[in-house]
Amino acid sequence: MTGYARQRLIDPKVLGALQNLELIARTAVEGALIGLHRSNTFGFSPEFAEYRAYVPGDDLRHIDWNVFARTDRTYIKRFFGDTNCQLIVLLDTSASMGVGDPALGLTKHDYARFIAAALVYLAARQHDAIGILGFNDQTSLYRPAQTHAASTRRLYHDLDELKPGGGTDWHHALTQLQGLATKRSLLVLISDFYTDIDDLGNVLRGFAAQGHDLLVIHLLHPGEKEVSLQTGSTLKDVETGQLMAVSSDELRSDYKTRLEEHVHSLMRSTRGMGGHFMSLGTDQPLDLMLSEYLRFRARHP
Amino acid sequence: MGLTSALFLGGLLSLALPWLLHRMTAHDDKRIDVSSLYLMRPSETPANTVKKIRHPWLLATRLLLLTALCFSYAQPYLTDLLVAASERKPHRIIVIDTSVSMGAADGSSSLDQAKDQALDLLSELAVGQKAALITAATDVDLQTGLTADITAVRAAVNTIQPSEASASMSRLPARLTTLIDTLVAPTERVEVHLLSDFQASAMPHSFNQLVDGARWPLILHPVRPAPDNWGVSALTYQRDRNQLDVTIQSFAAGAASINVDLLQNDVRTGTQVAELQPFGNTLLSFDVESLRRTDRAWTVRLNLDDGLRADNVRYLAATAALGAPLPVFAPAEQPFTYIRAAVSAASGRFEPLLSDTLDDSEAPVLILLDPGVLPATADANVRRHLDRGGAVLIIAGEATRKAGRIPILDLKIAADRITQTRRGVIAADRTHPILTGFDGWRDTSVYQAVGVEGQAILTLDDNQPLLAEYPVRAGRLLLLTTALDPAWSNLVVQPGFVTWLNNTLAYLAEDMLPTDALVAQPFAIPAASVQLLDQAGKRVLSLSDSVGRPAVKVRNAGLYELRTPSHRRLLAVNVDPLEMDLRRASPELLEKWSAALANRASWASESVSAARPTDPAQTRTPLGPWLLLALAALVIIELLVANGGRSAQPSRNATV
Repeated sequence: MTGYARQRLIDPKVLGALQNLELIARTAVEGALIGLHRSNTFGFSPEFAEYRAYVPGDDLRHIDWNVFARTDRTYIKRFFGDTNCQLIVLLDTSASMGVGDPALGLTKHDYARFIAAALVYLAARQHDAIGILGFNDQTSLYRPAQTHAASTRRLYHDLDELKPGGGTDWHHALTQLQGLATKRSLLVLISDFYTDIDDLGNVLRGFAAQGHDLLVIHLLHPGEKEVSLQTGSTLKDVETGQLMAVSSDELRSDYKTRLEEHVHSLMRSTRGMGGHFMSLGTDQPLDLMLSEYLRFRARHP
Repeated sequence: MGLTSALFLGGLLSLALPWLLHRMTAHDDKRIDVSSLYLMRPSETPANTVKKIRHPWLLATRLLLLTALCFSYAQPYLTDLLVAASERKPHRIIVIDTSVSMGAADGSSSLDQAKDQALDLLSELAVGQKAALITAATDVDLQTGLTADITAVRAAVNTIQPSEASASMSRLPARLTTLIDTLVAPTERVEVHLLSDFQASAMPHSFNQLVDGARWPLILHPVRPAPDNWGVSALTYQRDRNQLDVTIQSFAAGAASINVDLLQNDVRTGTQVAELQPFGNTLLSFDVESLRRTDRAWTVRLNLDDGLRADNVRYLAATAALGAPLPVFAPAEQPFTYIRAAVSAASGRFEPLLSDTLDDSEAPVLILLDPGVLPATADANVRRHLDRGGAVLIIAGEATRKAGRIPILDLKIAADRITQTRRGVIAADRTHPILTGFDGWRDTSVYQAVGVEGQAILTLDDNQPLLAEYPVRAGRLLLLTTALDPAWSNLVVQPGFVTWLNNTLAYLAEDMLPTDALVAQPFAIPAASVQLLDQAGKRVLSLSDSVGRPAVKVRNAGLYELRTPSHRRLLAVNVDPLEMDLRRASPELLEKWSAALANRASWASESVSAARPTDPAQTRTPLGPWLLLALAALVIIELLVANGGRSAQPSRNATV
């Protein structure tokens, strides 16, 4: 990574201050693109590739009308970046995502929305169809994959309106996902994944078997990685309201071990299904995530 | 407002408000929100999960602030410690019965015994305790105020003399309370000791009158049982027979034979021997001279040395002029019976006589009882009587209603103004002399009456006069629009009927000076001024004393002479015959009375001490200014604590 690229890394706190989700996505994506040295390998539209004769069924919007005016023949203008890929973001909006680091001023939900918005922006640039499924213990947002600019703006708005709350029901979410992923898609799962990994893996394995690509983005905020509590603290689960008295010694030792095992388990499960796993902290610049995502896309065109 | 005021207690409830507010914002100790407990394991050592109030110092300050505010409204004060200590030993109010019956002697008199008991009670007082002395008979009199100078109270006890007034326990607690309230400071507690013979005859019919108004503990001290007694209970002059009837009543278990002397103008004119039966009445009759032209006064005396001597003498004054015939025109017999009974029951000043012609030119008053159509002769005589300045009383009835006209007045009785339904009296001219001592009009129900115009003294609720007065020629005429018949009204069956008729006749005869009275009982003298002289010619009541007084009292029994600018009248003042019966009230009644007063006084004294207005006595130190200072300090502290708490408050986003 160049020094220039490092300079372009944007603190998530700064992104959060932008308020405008579309602007956040544009800022993050452009920064990531600059850092990655643009290359046609990745085929970002609109880079012209060739003309081919129009056949019934082609999208009329892709007819080059200038050629038609000169030659009186209909040709379709093709671009390198046109992959016709369908991207579906599965966004966890449960109450646990509403927890964040007070020093950072950013919750996991905020960070997840930034990621989703950036993916929307990237998909719009690449003419990919993108759909979003927000979920907690119910469906909080359901937008089938579309490519229209109007739908992109609407997605920004929808993401802006999403609020964290409720529990987490992966089975319900993945059942809903069946309706969205009607053709081969890239499934991006953004969550803190406080669930049984084996159960989740069993369900996701079915999607992988159907040819869907999986990108699992695991979010944690810094406080979840390094827990420091006073003796005799009582923890409250924000989703269930359950109280649990824990000892600081236990948190310092066992919790950290269990967290690492949990993350590794999720990573192993994801990779076992041929998917890609990313574990992110909300204090990490969004550009890095996007860069890694683009590399992943390069490997899975 | 006191500490038991509902407002104060309600104000204290406001203390719950800050507690609830702090409770609502209470937090769990070290409770931290986490995304999930999925990876957490509970501690083997249970943690303290008790909710704690947030900002306890701020809460305490606010509670103190509200408490001080409530107390400042309650106007608290500190009572001087010495006073508080003395309150634990209540002061003693000693009440001694000085009625006639307390003069009963069996060796020493009842009054002497009561005085000895009073001295004993005074000797029991501790240092700092106060005492007061009150005498009670017909009136309740303060002898010494509440004082710590017990020597002065003992001296006052020793100087008490028996009175000739009668005792009445009716409403005694209320009367005592009225007096004691003027003696006792709000912070002081007293107990009242009543020393009496507690005659059964002095007890009221209603038990409530023994306890109503009681506010202090009342301890009863009965003196020893009464001795045997005999007395003259009644002395009446039978005008028609020129006899003096003497009723002697025995309150002794044994028979006795005693000499009874009759004195006229202090000269013994006769003596008889009375054989007295146990607990019975004996009637003696003395022949006396006719009183057609001369006023007379008699004294009857029992020659014996019994328990109570004051009732062995009785006086009677009879006025010659008032023994005159009272002509009554009465076609029906029954109304006349009522008139005759009522006049006889009064004082015998008149002698009702039936007359068809009403031709007695000497009679001051003529009565027409339901005359109907008055015969011509009688009509002419009545009119002549009125011409001479005489007075006439007409009482309506069935015959008058049928005649449709009031005779003499020539007033037509309108058919539509005849009362046919039950009516009550709604207005009374209470300044009229006829109504003096007669309150029976309040309960008078009139079922039938004839309606005429006239200056009403009593008015029915249909605005018809029940009793009206008419000036006729040189005389006066009174008209009663209902009949002396229970079918027409209940007037004749009321106890006040005799009083009313007596007053009416006296008013019409222009002579209302009394001839008899009871010791210490007020009686009305319808004169602008009066003098009262005893038998020795000594003035007991002067003109200046009596001017403007509607009623006077005489303190000693005896014969007196009443002098008004226009009349002279002999007056016999006697002790109340009820005092003759020295038997004590039943122990059950006294026990019940004592218990009731003990119970009542316990709460009454507390409520009174709380309800009494603040006394500016120096025994109280108001705490109001200090509470205000405390309030101001607490406000400042509250502000400091609140602001300190806010600045120290951790970020609400502290989560894991």
